[in-house]
Amino acid sequence: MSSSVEAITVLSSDGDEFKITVSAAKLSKPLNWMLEDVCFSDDCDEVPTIEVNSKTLVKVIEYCEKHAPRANSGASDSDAEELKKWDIEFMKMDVKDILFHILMAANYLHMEGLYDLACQTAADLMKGMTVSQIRKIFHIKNDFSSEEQEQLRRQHPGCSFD
Amino acid sequence: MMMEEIMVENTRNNTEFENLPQHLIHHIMNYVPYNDAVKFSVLSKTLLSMWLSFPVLDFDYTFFSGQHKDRHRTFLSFILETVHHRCPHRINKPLQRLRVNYPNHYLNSYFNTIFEVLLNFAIKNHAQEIIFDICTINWVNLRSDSLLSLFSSEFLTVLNLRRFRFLVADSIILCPKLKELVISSCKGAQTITVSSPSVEKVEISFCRDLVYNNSKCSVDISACLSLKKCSNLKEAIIEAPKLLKLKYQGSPQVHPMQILANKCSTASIKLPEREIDYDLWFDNLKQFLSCFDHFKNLTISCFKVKDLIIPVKFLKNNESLLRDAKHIKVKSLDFPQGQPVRRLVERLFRLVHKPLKFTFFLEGVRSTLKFEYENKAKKRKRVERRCCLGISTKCWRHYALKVNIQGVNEKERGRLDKLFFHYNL
Repeated sequence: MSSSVEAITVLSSDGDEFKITVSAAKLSKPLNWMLEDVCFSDDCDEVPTIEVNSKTLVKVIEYCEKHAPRANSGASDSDAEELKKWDIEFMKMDVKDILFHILMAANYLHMEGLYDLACQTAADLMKGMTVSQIRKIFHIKNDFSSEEQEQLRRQHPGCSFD
Repeated sequence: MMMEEIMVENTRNNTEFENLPQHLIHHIMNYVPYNDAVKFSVLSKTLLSMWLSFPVLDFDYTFFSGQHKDRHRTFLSFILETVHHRCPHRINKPLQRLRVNYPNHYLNSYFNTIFEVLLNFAIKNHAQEIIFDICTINWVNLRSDSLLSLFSSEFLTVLNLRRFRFLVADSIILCPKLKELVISSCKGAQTITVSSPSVEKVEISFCRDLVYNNSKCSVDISACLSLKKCSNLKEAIIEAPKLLKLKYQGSPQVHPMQILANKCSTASIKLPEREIDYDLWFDNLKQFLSCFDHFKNLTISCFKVKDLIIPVKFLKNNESLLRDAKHIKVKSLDFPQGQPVRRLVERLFRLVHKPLKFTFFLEGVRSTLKFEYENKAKKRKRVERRCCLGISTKCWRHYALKVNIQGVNEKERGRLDKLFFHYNL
């Protein structure tokens, strides 16, 4: 096909259709490969499926579209500053419903920027929290007995867990 | 129906925190301060196993609180417990980073041993980054066998040593993958040779023993070398054929400083405040600057501009010290109002051969002077002096100067115009 393709259509794991612009798809290697497949194969009817659910894919595409202009051309400092603020707003999301999925999606789609951003967000949620608070935020089940717990805490003298 | 419900429930459970891949959890741990990251060990069994295989060891004394002795004891037992519990899980896996931060007054022999054990452990486990930021009044002694294996490690990419005493005088760093080397406040090294082909940054600072005479620093790097405040450095040989940029910070008492770097045309020099005798300072400065004669771009930062204005008595003949200098930048925070730029320009003109541009950053104000030379070498009685005898490219004195001045106030401009008018006579 020609280079006139401006957007590709992909399917989410739930079967919904999404459009991603070419420049945005360039942020992810697997998406880029798909793009090449779509552009260069004769059989264009096939719509590639991405193993990410719809809710997450919306967010991922939103991130890509926002970051694509800067990644493709490079931008000034003020733009970078604004983008940072946008990232912070963008990452205000439910931990279990979305954040874990975003982490997985960024990992699966090899999107370095989003991957780092999501990991940083998860890490920030953890900073300065007690163990029980962290368990609550990340929905982690405690499967230690209290003796085991005590023993583990003793292995880290000087560290406060509560 | 029941089956379907269970299936749905299962897929939902799959995106638990603990089900994220291990490298992802490790990446998150990387972003959490180490004392918070420790909490992963007590969250759940899965996370404990991920914590045990986390390839980063970070021992930071500042994370611990308490009275001096207690703090000491807890820090020490934290290191020992960590090594005891975490390290057996990691043998044969590469260690990503070992960092030790120990800003304490005194280092006892026990800590010395512990640090050396940690270092050897890191080397054995193919550590990629080793960072020892130690700030005590005495030094960590490093035996020659530890040093040898450290300096030849195949895996090391970042090495940062502070406050170490090398028990080998000639250190040769061979690590083939090393990118960044910082050696500061270290003792014992009289020569440091870096021959790692991949090195991008070398910084050697506050190394007092690098050394009275003939200290040799030969570096096979292609980006940037900085020497900072090695106060006993008297003579230096910098052998770095691929070097692109040289940074020097410290006193101008180093002479001769032989810089063997063909490709390097940019240097920046940061001079300290003048503490020594006026005559000695300028004599040193003059000789020191002459070592930079083959640099095209020179940035000189100093405390006071007047420390840079070399008195005429030291510049008797018209030989240009900075023969190849094209662009000279002068930076200074202290530039008293009464001190005219003219004096600085005039003295700089005595040092250079045929400059193209001067840039000054004086007290936050940027000003530039660009020079153009009239094509025909002008014959002038005054410059038929022997300033360029035997040199094919004649110096600025032989040309009619055209000057473009920017960022200078009216009064200064008048003075400068006068100076250049005088030059063009």
